[in-house]
Amino acid sequence: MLLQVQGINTYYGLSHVLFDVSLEVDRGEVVVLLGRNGAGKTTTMRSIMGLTAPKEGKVLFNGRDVTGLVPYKVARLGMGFVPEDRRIFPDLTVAANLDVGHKETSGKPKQWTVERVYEFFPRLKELSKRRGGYLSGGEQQMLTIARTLMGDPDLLLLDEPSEGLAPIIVKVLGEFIDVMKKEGMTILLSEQNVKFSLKHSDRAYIVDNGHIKYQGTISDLEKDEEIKKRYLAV
Amino acid sequence: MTKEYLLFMLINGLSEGMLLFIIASGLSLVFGVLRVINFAHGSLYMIGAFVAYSLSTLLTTGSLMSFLVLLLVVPPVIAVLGFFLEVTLFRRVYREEHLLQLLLTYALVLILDDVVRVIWGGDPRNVARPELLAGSVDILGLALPTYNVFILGVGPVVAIGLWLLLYRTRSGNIIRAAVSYPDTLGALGVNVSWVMTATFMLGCWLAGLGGVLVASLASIDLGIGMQKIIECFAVVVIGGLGSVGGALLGSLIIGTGITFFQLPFGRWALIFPYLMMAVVLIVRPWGLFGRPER
Ligand SMILES: Nc1ncnc2c1ncn2[C@@H]1O[C@H](COP(=O)(O)OP(=O)(O)OP(=O)(O)O)[C@@H](O)[C@H]1O
Ligand SMILES: [Mg+2]
Repeated sequence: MLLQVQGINTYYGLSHVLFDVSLEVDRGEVVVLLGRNGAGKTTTMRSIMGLTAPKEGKVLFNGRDVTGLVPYKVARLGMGFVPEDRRIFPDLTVAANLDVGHKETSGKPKQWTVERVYEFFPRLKELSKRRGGYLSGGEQQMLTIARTLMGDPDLLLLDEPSEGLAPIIVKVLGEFIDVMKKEGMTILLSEQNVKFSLKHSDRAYIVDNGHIKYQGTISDLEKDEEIKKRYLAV
Repeated sequence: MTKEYLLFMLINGLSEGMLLFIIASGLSLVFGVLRVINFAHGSLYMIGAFVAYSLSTLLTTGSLMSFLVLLLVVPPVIAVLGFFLEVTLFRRVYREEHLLQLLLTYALVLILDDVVRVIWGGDPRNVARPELLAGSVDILGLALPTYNVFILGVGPVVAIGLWLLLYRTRSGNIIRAAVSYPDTLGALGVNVSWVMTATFMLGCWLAGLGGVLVASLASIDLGIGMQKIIECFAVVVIGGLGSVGGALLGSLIIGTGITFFQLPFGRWALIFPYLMMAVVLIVRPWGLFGRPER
């Protein structure tokens, strides 16, 4: 298992948000974490990354306990986080945003170079001199993913990437996920867009009110109208 | 009043402004990244000046070599002092409310100023200019003090250096990224607390450089820190906090403004920074180069 989340409980101040959340992601898998607004998807991702450390439970990455480790150290171990609100550095050009994402990987040969990222997202190459603050939503989403890829992650945490994007861009995003998967990347996706996630993932978890309510393969979930109706409002 | 005299005043004012820029850009940079307004920045500048004085007593008076030694040694000494202050004190208050930050840096002003009083006493001091810069140069038929012209030249060098660092290097990209989203930067694998320490050290280095330069410009005493920090506030209010370009413009306005106001108003010219600050706060509260806070 590349990622094991074992019974984590996470709080924002006094408010208890995640209750005994457990999940696993194997190498090469694309796993989706589905849930409504406020269900706890982002909090789960932030707990894994160390941005909001869980009070109880464990996060194991590559068999190593990373619970409570500061985010930059977690990142250097090979975790890549793509925030849902994108967080493009507005004063930096596209190229500079990518430059910042590049990190020292201890001795490992570099997989993602600027050239390769531009091959993947040709639009970013055209925009390389534009400042981040002037990009459209879709362009920002491409850039935030590309920026995280520059750090050569082994695991990509993609938080609601399809949110607020035009259908055509969502399609491009889906194709991107498929290609990444084919290249062996491991992805934990969080989504509300059920159709999109079912199309591009291998397995699913459903989180509701901070509890994991379902886990199973995509084909099982597709057949389970009852679960889908109860938790996903489809 | 002759045209020559006005030109003479202009050069003096601009060199005052450049000195101010070197100090104020440090304050502004530190605020941009750490979000703490460091009241003690003026005290660090003053310590730089006194350290330069003490070091100069060990060196040959008036030699160019001694001056270069001061320029090379004193700013890093202040940067190292800044390192200790950041790691032991500033680091603890980044996430606290502004009032607490203010109390901390103001307390630091009182402590550092007393430290200076204890070590160097209240007498005014100064460092002899190196011979090469001691005389005057002939510009447009005017004899201008070489040292002022020299400072006038150092300012742009520092401005360009800072610009290159911030806009043309990876470190600069990281510093500017930290201004917007430090948490995101951390999740990308950057040790943000080290970025903050380094930025603070850079700010202190600039204060130290200002200290070395002023020690040979005018006489230095216990009041120069407070005087400069007030001018620096005026500069960052005018130029916009966190903007290097704004700091440059603001410094030149304040520097030349004070110099020219001294003609008709004498000591009352010291009011000029407050006056400018008030005008800018009314017309453009976020400064000429700054942006409104979200
Ligand atoms: N910084 C915070 N402080 C306090 N409560 C928070 C904070 N962030 C999130 N919450 C609460 O935690 C719960 C889970 O939020 P979270 O952002 O993880 O949900 P989500 O599934 O990502 O939702 P969305 O689809 O809207 O992004 C919500 O009830 C939310 O109100
Ligand atoms: Mg969310």
